[in-house]
Amino acid sequence: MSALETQLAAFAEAANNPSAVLDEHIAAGKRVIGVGPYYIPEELVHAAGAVPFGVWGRVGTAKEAKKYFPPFYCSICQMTLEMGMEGTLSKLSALMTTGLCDTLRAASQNFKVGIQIPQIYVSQPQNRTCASGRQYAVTSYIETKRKVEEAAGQVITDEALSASIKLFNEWRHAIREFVKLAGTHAGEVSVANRLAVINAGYYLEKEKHLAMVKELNAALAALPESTDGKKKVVLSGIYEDIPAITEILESNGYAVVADDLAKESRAFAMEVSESGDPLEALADGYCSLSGDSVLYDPKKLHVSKVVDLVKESGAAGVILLLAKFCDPEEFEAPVLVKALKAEGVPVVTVEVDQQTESYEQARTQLETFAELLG
Amino acid sequence: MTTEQTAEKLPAGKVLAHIVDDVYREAAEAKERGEMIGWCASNFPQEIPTTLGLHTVYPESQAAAISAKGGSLPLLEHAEGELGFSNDLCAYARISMAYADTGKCPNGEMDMPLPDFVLCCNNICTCMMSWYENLGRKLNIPVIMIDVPYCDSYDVDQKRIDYVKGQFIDAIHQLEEITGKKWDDKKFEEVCAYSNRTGEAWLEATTYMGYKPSPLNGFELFNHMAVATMARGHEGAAEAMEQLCEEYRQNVAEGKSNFRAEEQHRIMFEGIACWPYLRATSKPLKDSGTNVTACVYGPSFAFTYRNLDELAEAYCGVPNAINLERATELRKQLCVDGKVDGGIVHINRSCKMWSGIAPEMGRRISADLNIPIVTFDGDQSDPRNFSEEQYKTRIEGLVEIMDSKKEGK
Repeated sequence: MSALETQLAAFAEAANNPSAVLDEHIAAGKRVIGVGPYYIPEELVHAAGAVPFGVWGRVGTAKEAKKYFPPFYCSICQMTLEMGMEGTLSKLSALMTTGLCDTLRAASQNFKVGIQIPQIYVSQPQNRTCASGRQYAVTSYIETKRKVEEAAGQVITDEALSASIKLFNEWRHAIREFVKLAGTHAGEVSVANRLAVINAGYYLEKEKHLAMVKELNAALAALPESTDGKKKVVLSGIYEDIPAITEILESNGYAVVADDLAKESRAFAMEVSESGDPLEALADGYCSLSGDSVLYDPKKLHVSKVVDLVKESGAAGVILLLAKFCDPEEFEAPVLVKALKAEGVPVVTVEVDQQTESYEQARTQLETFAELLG
Repeated sequence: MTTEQTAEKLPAGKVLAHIVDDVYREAAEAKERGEMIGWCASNFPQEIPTTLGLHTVYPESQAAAISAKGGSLPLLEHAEGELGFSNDLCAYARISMAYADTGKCPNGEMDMPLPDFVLCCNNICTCMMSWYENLGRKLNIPVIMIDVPYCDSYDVDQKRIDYVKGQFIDAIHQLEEITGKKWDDKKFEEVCAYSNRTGEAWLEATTYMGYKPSPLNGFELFNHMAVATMARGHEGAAEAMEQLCEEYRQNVAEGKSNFRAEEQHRIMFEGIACWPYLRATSKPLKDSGTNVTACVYGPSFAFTYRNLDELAEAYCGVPNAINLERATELRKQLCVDGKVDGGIVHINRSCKMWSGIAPEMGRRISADLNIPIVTFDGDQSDPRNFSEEQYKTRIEGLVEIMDSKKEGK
C-alpha cells in the first residue's frame, strides 16, 4: 500500500465505522454531541470540550420509526429516529437538530419521544439579511450555547469559542481545498475515497481530521493532475453516501470535480469572522449563507450558483442526486435542471433514499449519462 | 332593522360564499384597473395588505376550491409533466405553480388574476417558502416573506415575537415601495378590530359543536373557513361570522341541526379535508350518524390580539407552528369541548409537517381521553392518493368501536 493509499485508508476506517470512533471518544473521556442537518454551530460543541458527531441517518430500513413517520418521509429523519430507537445514539450526551424544512420540524418532535437522550433544538431564521433576523439568530445561539454547556458539562468561554472558530475556519479551508484536489486527482482519489475523507470529518475530532486532511492535501498537491478518461461531474443534492451510488459512479468512470451537496460543500461553505464577539460572529456566519435550497432564496441564487460551479470546475455535466421526499430539493429540481439545460450543461436526475434497496434504475441512468458525456 | 329587511336576509352560508366571490371579483377588477394585486398565504398577517388597501387572493383557498370542484387533476398533471415537479410535493403547491403557468383553470373552477407580488408566511409549513420562491421566479415578481420559526417549546417566546414584529415592519416598507401605497395607523387599528371580531365570531361559531346534538354539520366549517382565511380583516366578514353564530344559536334554541341525520356519534376530524372527495368522506359519516364536532380549523384561523406583540404571537401560534405537546393539548381540549366519542386522522400525503406528527398525536389523544382514533390515507387535493374503500372500512371500524364502547357503558 502506498503512503497515499495508507492515508486514504485511515479516512475510510473512520468514515465506515462511526460506532468505533464514537467508542474511542467515550473511552478517552470525551462527551459527544450528535449534530444533524443543517448548519448547526458545531463550534459551540467544540468550545465546550465535547466532540460534535454527525447524525444524518444511515442506510437501512426503518422499522420502529414507521410508527411515527408516514412512508412518504425523508429517510434521514426516519433512519435517525430508527438509530435512536435501536440504541445507536445512546452514548451521545445530546442530539442537536434544526427545523429548516418541514420534515425536520416534525422529526424534532418525534425524536423527543423516540430517542432517549437530551435534545437541543437549534432555531434559525430564514430571513437572514434583515436586522430582526440577525438578532433572532444571535438570541437563539445564546440559548443554544447554554444548552450545549449543560450537555457537555462545561461552560463555554469567549476565548474557547474564538479558538474553536479559528480551528473550524482552518478546517473548512482545508476541506474545501481537498474537494478541489480530489477533483483534479481523480486517478488517486476515487469517488469512495473522496466521500470517506469528507464523511470522516463528521466523526473524528476536528483537530485530528484537519491534520489528516492537510497532510493528504500536501501529498495530492505534489502529484500531477490525473483526470484523463474520467467523466468530470458536479454532484448536486443533499447527500451522496449510498454505497450503491458510490459503486455505480466509480464503475462508470466518474470524477467528482465539485459538489453542491448539503452534506458536503454546502456544509463547509460558511466563513465565520475571527474578530468581535464570537457568538455574534457565529450567528453572522449563518446569516451570510446564501444560494441553498433549504434556505430562503427568493432570487434562487442556488440555481446560478450550481451553474457557476460547473463552469468554474470544468465539469462536463451535473448529477442531481434528488433526495426522495425532500421538499426543498424537489421544489428546486425542475428550475435547476432547466437552467443547466439552458446553459448547455448535461444533467441527469437520480433519486436517492437511504431505504431504497435497488439502484438498478440509477445504474442504467448513470451508464447512459456516462456515455453521453463520452 | 325592519321586518322586511329580516325577511330578505340571506342565510349566513350564502353571505359567506358571497364574500369569497367578492374577494376574487374585486381582485380581478382591481387588476383590470391596473392596480397591483397579490397572492397571499392563508396565514400571512392579512392586516398588512388590507390596511394598505391592497387586493389579495389566496392560492390555498383557490387550490381547495378547484379540487372540490373536481378540477385539480389536469393542473397537477401539468405541474408534473410540463413543469417537471415531483408528485411528492404538496398538491396545493403543484396546482398553484401550474396555475401560475397556465393562468386558467381547466373548466373555470376558480380563476383568479395573476399576481404582481406574493406574500408568504411559513408558519404553517416551510413548503410554503419554496412554493412562493418558485412563484416569484416564474412570474418575475417580488416575494415578501414573514418567517415564523417553528416553536419547539410549549409557549411562543419573546425572541420569536420580536423577530416577527421586525419582519412585519419590513414587509410594510417593502409593500409601500412596490405598490406606492401608504401605511395608515388608523386604518390598521380598524382592520385589526375587524380581524379580531371575525376571529372571535369564527371561534365562537365552532364552539357550537359542543352542544349535543350539534346544531351544525362539522363538515360545513370546511366551506365557511374560506372567509376566515381570505377576508378576516373586513367588516363584512365579521358581520357574516356573527350571523353564523346567531343561526347556530337559533338552531340550538329550536333543537334543529344542519346535520341531516340522527347524531349517534361525535368525532374529531383531524387534518385538512380531502377536497376532491368531500362527498365520499362525509357520506359514510352521515350514514352512520357520525357528526364532526371537533376540528382544529377553529383556532387555526381565529387570530385575536390586543396589540402588536399579541398579533405576532398569534401568527406564531398557528397549529403547524407549535410543538407536539401543545398541538396535542389543543386537540384534546377541542375533543373535550366537542364531547367526542372518537376521532379520524387524515394522513395527508400533501402535508409532511402535519402528517409527521399526526400518528403520535393521535396515539396520545386516544390514550389520554380513552377514545378510539383511526387514521386514513388521503390527500387534500390529489385525487390519486385516496381510497374510498379504505376510508369506508376505517369509518366502519371506528363506528364499531364507538358502538361497543357505548354498549359497554
